Amino acid sequence: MAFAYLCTLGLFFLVVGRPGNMLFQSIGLAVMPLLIVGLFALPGRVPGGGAGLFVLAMPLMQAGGL
Amino acid sequence: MRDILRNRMGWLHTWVGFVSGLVLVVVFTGGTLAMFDTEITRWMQPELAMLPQAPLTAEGLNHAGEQVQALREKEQTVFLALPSVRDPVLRILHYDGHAFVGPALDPRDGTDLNVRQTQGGQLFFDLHQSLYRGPVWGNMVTEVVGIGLLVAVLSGLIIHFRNLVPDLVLFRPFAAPGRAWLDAHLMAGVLMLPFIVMITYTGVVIHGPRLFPMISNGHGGKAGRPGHDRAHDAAPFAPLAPMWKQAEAVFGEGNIGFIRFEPRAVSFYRSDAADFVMTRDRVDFSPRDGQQIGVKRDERGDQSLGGIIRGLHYVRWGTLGLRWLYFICGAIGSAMMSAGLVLFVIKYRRTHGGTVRLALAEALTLAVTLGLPLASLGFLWSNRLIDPSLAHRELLEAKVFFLLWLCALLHGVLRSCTGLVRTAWREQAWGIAALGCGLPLLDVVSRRATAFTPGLDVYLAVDACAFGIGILALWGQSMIVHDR
Repeated sequence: MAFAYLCTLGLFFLVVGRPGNMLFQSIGLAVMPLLIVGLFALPGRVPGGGAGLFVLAMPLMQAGGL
Repeated sequence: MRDILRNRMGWLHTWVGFVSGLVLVVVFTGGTLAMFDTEITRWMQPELAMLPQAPLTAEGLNHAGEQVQALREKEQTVFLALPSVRDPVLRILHYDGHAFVGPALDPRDGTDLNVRQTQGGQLFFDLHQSLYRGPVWGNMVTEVVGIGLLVAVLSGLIIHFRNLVPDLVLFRPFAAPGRAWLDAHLMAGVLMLPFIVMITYTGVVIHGPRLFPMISNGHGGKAGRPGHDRAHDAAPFAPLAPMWKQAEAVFGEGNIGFIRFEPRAVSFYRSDAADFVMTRDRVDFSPRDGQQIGVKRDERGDQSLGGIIRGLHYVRWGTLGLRWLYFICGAIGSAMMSAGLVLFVIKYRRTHGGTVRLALAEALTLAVTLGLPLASLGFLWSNRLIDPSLAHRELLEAKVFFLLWLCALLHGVLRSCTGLVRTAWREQAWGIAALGCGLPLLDVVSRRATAFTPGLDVYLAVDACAFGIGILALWGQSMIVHDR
């Protein structure tokens, strides 16, 4: 899930200069659940420990107003 | 290979579905009720029952403006909501952290109608969008479970892809308990699939920046409103009626939703009901002399995509029939998710029966499935039983709601831990039946002294829905009795 989160985030920042673009937000948020399901369907495990920490840190930073 | 895929998807569907589902039932039920938030608020202000449907007058608007001015001099930040088909009164509103509350005024002359203060249907709206936990944490949790629902839908689709059509028509309510719940879950899920995907996806996109604060364009920030300058707040403004007429000339008659009072402008915003695309188009006027400063329209392109997504989700432009359709689809969606939760606990009873973890899962399932409707009905009851003139009574009503919900959870925990979970389901169903079937009677009795006139109105609709839920709960508890 963390891996999917980072992939979606990467997709946003691929859109150079316009990460807040509504169209790309919509596409990204449609891709994210597809990625999660796709990654679960793959055999083996996707390493995601570090990404998990990142996912947790971002909302915490926002909530703390950092 | 195919079985491995089904197993993986089954695990994902089960666990993501259960953990998200506990929150999603609350979000979906809250959203379903919020479809009629204005009407629920009107039901909870029975003083409005006798008010005739009258158009807004210039005198009424100017008088309301004077009252807004008086509040601004006391450093209160308020705005003025204009009458609409759904809510035929003027309202001076402020945000109390959960809902927009404030006095209701007669649109004919702007006099205070002295309605009881209540959060009304907005409690359900807040529950829906942020679980009553505020715009940061609450929004974030609903956003995460929204993604969880999309994952559960996708994995569920992969599991049942080959049987989608048979699932659509197969329902055996009198089969074994597990089978009947599975039939209900599958049938409602397949039938409501387009609605559930649409409403979840639009909801997820609307609050997307909460999940990705680094791409936020102001949505997730804590900054105050631009141009807010308290030193200029209390400066008097020109009469509102001439500005209102000019604003209507721009957006069309009856298409002004609300008026905001900024230090350097009085802004007339287009009503959300005016168009499918939900925007914040407005006409600004100089507060000093009432001269039109300009018309600000949301940018087209990206912004209109956002407006379309909001329009689809909030459906404020919709007719009464369309809102009922959303309401019914939302209710079936909630029932589908509740059935999924019940299936989870039935499945794990076989292997984890008697464990604390399962008892907790049973109690949580019961609390969101039956505890929430019980607390919602209790909220409506409290509205009529708490003294209308009591200060801060709207907070007391909300406390009754959450207290009842907590009691339902504790009751579930207590019964589950003593192995009497079926008794707990029956008892809470009885509670819903009593509160639901009794609500029309309470409505009639409590409105008898002021304004009871039978008719096809919001009062009848709320009473009928509550009565229907009561009857459904009676039927449900009898099913539990016969269930072997």
